Amino acid sequence: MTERRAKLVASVTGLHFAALQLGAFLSVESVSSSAWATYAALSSAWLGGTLAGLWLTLPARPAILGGLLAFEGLLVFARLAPWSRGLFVFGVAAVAVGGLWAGGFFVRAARRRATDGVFLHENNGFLLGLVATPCAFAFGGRTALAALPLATCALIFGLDPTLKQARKETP
Amino acid sequence: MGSTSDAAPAATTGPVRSAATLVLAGAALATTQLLAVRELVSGLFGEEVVLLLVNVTLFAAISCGYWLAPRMRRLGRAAEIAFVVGCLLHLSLPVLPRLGFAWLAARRWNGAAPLAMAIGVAVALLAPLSTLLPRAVASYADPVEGMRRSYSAELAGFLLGLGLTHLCFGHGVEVLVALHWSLLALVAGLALGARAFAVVALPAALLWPSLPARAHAASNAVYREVHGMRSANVVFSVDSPYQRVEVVDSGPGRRSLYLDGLENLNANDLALLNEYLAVVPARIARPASTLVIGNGTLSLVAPLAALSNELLTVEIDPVVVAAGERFFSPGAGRANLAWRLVQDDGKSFLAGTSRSFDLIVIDVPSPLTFQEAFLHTREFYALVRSRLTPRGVVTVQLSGHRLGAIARSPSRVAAALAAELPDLMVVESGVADRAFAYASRELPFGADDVRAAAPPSETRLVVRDAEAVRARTRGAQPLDIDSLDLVLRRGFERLVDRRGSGGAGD
Repeated sequence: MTERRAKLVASVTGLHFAALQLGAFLSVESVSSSAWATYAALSSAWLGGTLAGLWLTLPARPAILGGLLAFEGLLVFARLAPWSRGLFVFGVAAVAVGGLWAGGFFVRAARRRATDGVFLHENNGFLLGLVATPCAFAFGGRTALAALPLATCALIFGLDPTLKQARKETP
Repeated sequence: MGSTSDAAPAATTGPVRSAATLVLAGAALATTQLLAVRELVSGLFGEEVVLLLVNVTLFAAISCGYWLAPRMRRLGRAAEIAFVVGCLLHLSLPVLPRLGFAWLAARRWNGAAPLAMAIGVAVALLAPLSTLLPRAVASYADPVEGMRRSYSAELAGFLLGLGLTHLCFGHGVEVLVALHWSLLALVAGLALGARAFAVVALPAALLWPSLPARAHAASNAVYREVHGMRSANVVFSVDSPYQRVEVVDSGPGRRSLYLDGLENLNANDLALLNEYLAVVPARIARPASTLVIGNGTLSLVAPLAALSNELLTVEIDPVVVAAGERFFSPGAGRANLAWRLVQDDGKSFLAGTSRSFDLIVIDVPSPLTFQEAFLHTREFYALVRSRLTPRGVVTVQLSGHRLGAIARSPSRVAAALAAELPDLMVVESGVADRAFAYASRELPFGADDVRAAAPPSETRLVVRDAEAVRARTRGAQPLDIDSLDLVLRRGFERLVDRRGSGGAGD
């Protein structure tokens, strides 16, 4: 993978993380609670998932797809059972699963000795996601919220050819 | 100055000290973000668009730090000095940003200048702290170990910072600032040595005792210059987990509540607002049980407790309640055994209760943030309907003075309400300068009852029945969770108007 492409992958990954994290927050808070405790629990779940992802040896593809699946599952849950008490618990679990790859991604970059600029480019992508996600939600509703991580995930797999060989990789 | 050549924590200081530095830096990043968000959002006015802009600014500042990190090695001692200067800049919080906004407003530089200043403040505060993580990772021989240890330490610190910050909410800004400055001094000391600690800690210790007075003077300057309130005196300013809550006196009997820099209400309008929002329908319907969602000022407790057998107030923000009890409704409800206060989100409370109410009053701010807009959506009104008795009534303030264009808040909120509760009435009051909606499955009163119960001071009262409301709002898209474009559109319009007109836009 060229250096330029690696930067692009890091940026799209940052965008993906923002879409997952903010998307989950908006989805839970719209039909559950906007209390500080909800925000703190969801933020802690993301950070906890990231911490776990740093130390677990995660295969890339299942980790990315697992996070995406958990997120889409959360959106479906919120649609089917709004105002349900279980939504908060499901939300915390889904956000934590999404956060796993936020840790795994950086370890993968380190394993490839590609840490130069990885924080910068990932953060730039996250910044873009901070704008894109609320705009998608405001103008496209929960459908756009669900579509955005699907698109970013497809982009990540499209841009990073090494992910297709991930199964063959030794951790 | 320090024991390392470039303030990189790990290589020359050992892994434990490196980890401790990053834990504290992570905590300081959390406190910096929360302090900066409150200062900048309040200075620029707290709509969702502003929240978005401020968050983007903060993350751009972190990117600046990440960009600078590998370049700092080349700068040697200059990098150490720049890092300490960066820490010292935090000692200007929260006074300098406030004075900066006031200074710009006094010169009528209300266009892009405040936004540019916000970016400058964010970069100055966050960039130095953000340089630590990439440099710590790079200092390890094994990049995987470096990444795991360093990033884990910073994340754990950020979590710690979030937890510690929570303890500071509800107190004056000096409490959070004391925590923040302590963290910074420790970070500087661990990264660069005892002299750096002293350079940050000593001025911090000297400045802290005078902080409440200086912060108060700076807040007054903001309200005098930015909001144009010549004799403004901020009598209460406390940050909650949700917003900055400020009570401002601007003359005899002129007292206002500001939330994140936006005027929520003023004492003069409050009585009329309450009259139409809750007292008129309660006077006619005589509810056995009443639920008020919002109204943290507790100004509805006394009038509604007299008209309802049982009254329940659900307010999410304890700081608004504290301000309300002290400045707007002293002693409200304390002697009233029929009144109860619950601290919770209105959505969560309604979802969790099995009770039904004869009257539900929704007294929440206009839909200028997503969190506020969720309380104006069709989905929320469906939840409200499920907690109304068969002839129960919900009352809403429509965030405007009349049903106007179909794309504006009053029409879209009324359409959302009409979609869930077919019997709807909209009241446009000249004297309150607001429109209100009363909705039910079957309203227990009519237009004539409302006219008869209106306050004598009313100058122009328009009451529209369900048919008239449907005609006026035909084509308006009901506000629902999947169509909250209004939040960003309206916020953007207000932002542009303010920046264009050079005023506060209160």
